[in-house]
Amino acid sequence: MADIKIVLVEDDEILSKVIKEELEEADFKVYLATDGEKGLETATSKKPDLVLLDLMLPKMHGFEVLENLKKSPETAEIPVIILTMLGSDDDIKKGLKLGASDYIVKSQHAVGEIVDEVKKFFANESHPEQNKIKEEK
Amino acid sequence: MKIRTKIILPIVFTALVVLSAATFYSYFFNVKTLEIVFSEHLDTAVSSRTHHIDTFLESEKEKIKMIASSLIFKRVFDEDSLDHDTYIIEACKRVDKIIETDSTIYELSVLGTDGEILCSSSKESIGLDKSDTDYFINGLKETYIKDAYYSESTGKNSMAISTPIMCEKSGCLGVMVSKIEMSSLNNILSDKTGLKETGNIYIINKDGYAITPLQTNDGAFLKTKIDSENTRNCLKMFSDREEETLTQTEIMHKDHEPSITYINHEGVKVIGSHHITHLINWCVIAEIDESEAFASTKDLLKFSIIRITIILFLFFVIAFLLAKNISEPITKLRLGTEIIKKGNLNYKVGTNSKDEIGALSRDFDEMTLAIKKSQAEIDQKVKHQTEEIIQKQKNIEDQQLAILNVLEDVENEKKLTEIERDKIDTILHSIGDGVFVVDKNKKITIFNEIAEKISGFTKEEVLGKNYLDILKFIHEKDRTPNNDFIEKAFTLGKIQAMKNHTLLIKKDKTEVPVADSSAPIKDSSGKIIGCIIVFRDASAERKAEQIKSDFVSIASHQLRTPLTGIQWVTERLLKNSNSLPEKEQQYVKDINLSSKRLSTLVDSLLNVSRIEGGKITIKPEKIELIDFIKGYITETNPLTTNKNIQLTFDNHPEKLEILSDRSGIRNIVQSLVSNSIEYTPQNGKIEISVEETETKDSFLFKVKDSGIGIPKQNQKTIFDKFTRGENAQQVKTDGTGFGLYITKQTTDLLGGTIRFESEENKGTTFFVTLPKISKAREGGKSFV
Repeated sequence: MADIKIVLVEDDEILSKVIKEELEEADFKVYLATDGEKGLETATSKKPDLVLLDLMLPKMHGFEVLENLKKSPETAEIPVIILTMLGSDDDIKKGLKLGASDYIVKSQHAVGEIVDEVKKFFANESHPEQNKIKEEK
Repeated sequence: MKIRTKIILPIVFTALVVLSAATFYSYFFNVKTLEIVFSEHLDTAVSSRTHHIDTFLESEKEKIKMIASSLIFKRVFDEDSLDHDTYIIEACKRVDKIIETDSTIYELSVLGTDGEILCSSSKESIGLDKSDTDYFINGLKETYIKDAYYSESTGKNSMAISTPIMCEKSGCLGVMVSKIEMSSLNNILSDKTGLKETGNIYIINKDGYAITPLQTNDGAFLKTKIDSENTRNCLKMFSDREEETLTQTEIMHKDHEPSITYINHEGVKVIGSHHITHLINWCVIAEIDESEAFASTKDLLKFSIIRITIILFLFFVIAFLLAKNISEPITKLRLGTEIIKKGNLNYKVGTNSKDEIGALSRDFDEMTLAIKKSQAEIDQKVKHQTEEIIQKQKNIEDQQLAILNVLEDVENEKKLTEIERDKIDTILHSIGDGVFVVDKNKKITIFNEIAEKISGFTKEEVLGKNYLDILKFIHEKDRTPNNDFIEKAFTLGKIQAMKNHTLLIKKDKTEVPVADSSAPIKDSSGKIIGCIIVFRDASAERKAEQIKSDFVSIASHQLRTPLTGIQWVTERLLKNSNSLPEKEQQYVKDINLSSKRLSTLVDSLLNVSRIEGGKITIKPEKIELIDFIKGYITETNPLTTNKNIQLTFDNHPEKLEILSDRSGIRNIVQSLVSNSIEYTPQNGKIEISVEETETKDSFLFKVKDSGIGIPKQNQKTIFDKFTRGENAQQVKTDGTGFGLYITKQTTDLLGGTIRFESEENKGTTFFVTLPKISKAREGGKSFV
């Protein structure tokens, strides 16, 4: 799965390091960006298969990054999963409305579970029909 | 005006007017009649005198003509005769003879053809030439009457008549002249038949001179010219007679005019008439003094006035008697009322008259009698009542004494009460909170200084007014009225806390957050007679709460990131645990567990902070409750397996769709189930069930365990913050005391109720009833 590229936008040094390591151990190619601007830049240049996007970011808020990604035709198709700490319903709903594919509340999951969620996402991605049925449900 | 006057005056006045009118009419009628009568008398008198004079002149004229025609005088002119001289002597003798026998002629003369007097009764005038005299010249032609003149030869007022003497032969002519004294006419004029004392008849010639004596002047003959309206009118008739060619008949009718009233030549007011003679131009004038003529009318006027006076007097007497007849009983009645008015009820008016006034006076007497009777009754009653009053007054005096004693007691009591009230006032003023008291009609009776300060209203503005009109308590959230805590104090009779987040609208329309409570005031019988409300300005508290809430929220968030970091790093350590010795591996597990607990604690703190800040959002969404619960039970599998707890979820409908807040439902389920696992010992039993209520709009979620139970002493406060069962602390030392508090608050927010049944060491059952459809609530944040 080394050909699957993921851009991780996360400002916390420790959290980003742990997630990156876990993902790389799961054979994902991970590009790390530590603020919103870099995140948008990296996502645009690397054209990843997935963006894991924190919300509380320096320089540019996660929602802004998401908006820009979805606005640009080059990056509009890239799926985005929101990483949030508070799990506030408002934040989640706003993210999904802006075009995010899913969300993960960091504090409610072990780090391994986050990687599991990513894997699950790609598994669904590879069976788009199945995914569609799930959505309908 | 007295009645008498009212009756007399009109009668006398009317009589006066009628009588005066009648009298004056008759007077003027009489005067007019008299005037006509006198006028006729005068006319008749003057006509008859004129007729006399005409007759007299005519007879004298005829007489001289007859004399002149006798042969004896004709012969005088027969100069050819031998006896001519004899003839003259005879003629002269005849003249003397005629004079002797005739009473009116005082001189008779025969004039010859040449005017020489041939014969005359006046012997001295024989031979005189009279050829130039008017009576000779005119007498030659026809019989001529010479107007009145003064004869110088005889010294007599005379008139003369001359007539021609025709002889046998032609061309022989003489004139016979007779002279008559004017006094001959006096006999005619002095006859005063039809005239009164002042009556006067005289003649004036055509020049206006008197030719007969006047009443006051015998010697007026041809000396006095009479000029009055009457004479002027008369003289004018002569000129008319000459100018107009009137027939004899017309002249006859035109010879006099109606009498007139005028001022005569002597300056006396007279009634006069005039008449002209036919044979000569004379005016016969008759006059009579008006004063005498109308003397009788003056008498008539005098008599009339006397008559009026007498009649008026009679009328007055009649009217007086009539008035007296009417007014006397009235006066009597009036006097009677005066007397009765002064208090003499025994007086009787008693008039005998049979008319209405009499009847009135008798009625009056009856009335007086009735009054007397009723007064007697009243006197009796008054006497009786006076006695009663005296008795009552006596009683009252006794009572007053008693009351005075009581009053003294009351006064003392009042002093004590005042002291008490002063105390209460002092207390009320000393209290740092706003206090106001309303009576059972919701009217404000007490309003302390702090209440004034918080609300902005002064005591004077609010006392006696319904508090609902003045003090508006509202919910901060939706701004609806929030007076429940006062109303409930009345209805329930228990102390009521003010709801959180209550605002008070101040006088200046600004709002102030307030807090505290109300309490009913009861009288000795337990009846609610009012309510005391204590409130304080909660602005500072609210601010502090906000700061606290914000702090907790931020702190929680900031705490989580490092906590998550710790968890994840320890997880990675454990993943590669092979590299660590056994003991170290256990340490890492402990770190991980601690950080997880800390994480849960932070979540709880966050929830509490949001609940207390009123910032919880309730967003109802579709949830399939049975699967939802099953999902959570699956998560707890490791724990139940560890403690060998038999957890069953059998009693439930196959599916149950609800509209509720997902986080809220999860909190309730998670909290109750995890608690039951926590506090149920090894090999215990947990039963979970869901059933719809009878009304089908709610459902009951039940968690029954065979755990340690809640001690009785903790049951009342088990839903409070930081409260835990005493026994629970021995089982689990790190409990926060947040769990059931959050559960209770969440249940409330979702519109449900929670209760429990518990017995220590036997188990606890929680019953949560929730509506299938929860109401949405705007707050800002969801449950964590």
